[in-house]
Amino acid sequence: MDVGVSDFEAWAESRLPGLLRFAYLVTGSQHAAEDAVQAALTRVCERWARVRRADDPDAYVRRMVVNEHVSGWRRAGRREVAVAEVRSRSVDPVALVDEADAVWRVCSTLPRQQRAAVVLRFYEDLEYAEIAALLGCSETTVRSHVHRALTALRAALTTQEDR
Amino acid sequence: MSDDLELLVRESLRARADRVDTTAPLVGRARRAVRRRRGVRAGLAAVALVVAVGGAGVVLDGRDRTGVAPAPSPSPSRAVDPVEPDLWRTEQWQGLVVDVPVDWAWGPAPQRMSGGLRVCGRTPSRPYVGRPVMMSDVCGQELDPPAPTSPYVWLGVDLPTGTVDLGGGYVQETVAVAGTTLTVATDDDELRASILASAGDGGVCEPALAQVPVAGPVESDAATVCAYRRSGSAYALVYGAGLEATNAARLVEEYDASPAFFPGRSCDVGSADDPLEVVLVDVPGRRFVVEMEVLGCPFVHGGPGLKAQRRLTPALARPWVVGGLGTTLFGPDGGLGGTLDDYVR
Repeated sequence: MDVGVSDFEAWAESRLPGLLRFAYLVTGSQHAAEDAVQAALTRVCERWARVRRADDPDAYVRRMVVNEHVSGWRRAGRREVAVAEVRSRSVDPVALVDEADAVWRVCSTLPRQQRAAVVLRFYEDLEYAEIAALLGCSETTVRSHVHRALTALRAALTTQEDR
Repeated sequence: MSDDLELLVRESLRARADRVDTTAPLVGRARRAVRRRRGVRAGLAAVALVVAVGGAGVVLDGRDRTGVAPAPSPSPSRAVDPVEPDLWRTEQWQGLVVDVPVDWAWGPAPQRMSGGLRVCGRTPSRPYVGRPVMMSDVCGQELDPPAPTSPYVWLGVDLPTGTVDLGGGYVQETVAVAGTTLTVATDDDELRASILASAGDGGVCEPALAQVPVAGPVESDAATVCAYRRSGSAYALVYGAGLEATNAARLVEEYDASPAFFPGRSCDVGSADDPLEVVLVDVPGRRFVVEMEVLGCPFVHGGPGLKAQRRLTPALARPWVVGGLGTTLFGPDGGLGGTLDDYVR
């Protein structure tokens, strides 16, 4: 097997679980996550000779996953409503309404770039400058995204407590 | 409280992520997809070669590339590292998106007219992205064009798919993608392959509009500019790009500082219902709609209703006339002696 091919496959296989988890949080759907990651890996494979020499190939792929999600929405011409794909078999509506689900519900309603900023900040633990570079926007915009998301979450949790 | 909230978000996201199925064989699928793409392109090139050798290639003859050949440039662009996003930019045409080196210019590409393919405007003397639009009322057809001296990309040109040897080391390859065509000509195989590999559908703009949308509040937080030209009874995307935050803010400032404009005040609004060119400028939470028509009044709508209507001025146009948009649209002058770029200068 060509050294380059085995090199790409080894790199991609080691990154795949993390990429899928990241893509799921960004897209809200197992199916959309797999589509986005596959599209990103296909492009990386085509450019592997250059990607492997980059300072941070992982950041490059994460950006492609985020952009692929945006492009995918445009292609479909519709807004995707995230639905929790992984549920326990016995669904207790009352038990599901807990703080963790409130976070996911709020994230599901966020605009795409804002949601990506939240995931990159609180799941990938990136700095604001790194997130800005990855999303192609200013650091101020990233901070605004995160601030608005936390504000929405705080309001959702407060409403929940009042019930 | 804020730290507790952030901790909650982290734990929630992590718990959700831990439940994701990560067993899908995506790496293998990606490898197979790449092999299929390379096989298709090799097949097309082989077909083109067979037809050219057979002498049936009216359009596979380099001489049918048409257009005005670029003037000699200092040095052709070399392949840049595509993993550096700042070194590439994304071009859009209808449903097609493709990445090109960020320093490439914009220019005209051949259009199908009576008598064949013609280029309307001056072809840049350096690497460029061409669109089949009239950038000038002077249209030329080179009967025996010389080999190019710098690379180019053409979007949506009426050429059959295939590969053509242009001479001078240059190879021109046309592929069908996203319902249109993409043509790439370079003397650098790696650069050509990188550009072709970046092509796909999607983008920040809708490929077409059935009708002119209404301006006003939008849910999106994006900042984009999407330019359309009337095509039959609908509008086709001719240019799309992101908009810098400073430009978006400046547009809002200029709009807020402009007086409302009502029809009938020294302005012919006969074609207001069916403008030739429409530009949608989205800033976070809001959409502006610009309408331009030959010999008509150009408007900027900031919302529904006449009170949200402004007359377009160079100051109101400058924030969103970015990149190659200015040379792609006629603008308020309707192509009579200039493009939108001339209007905003």
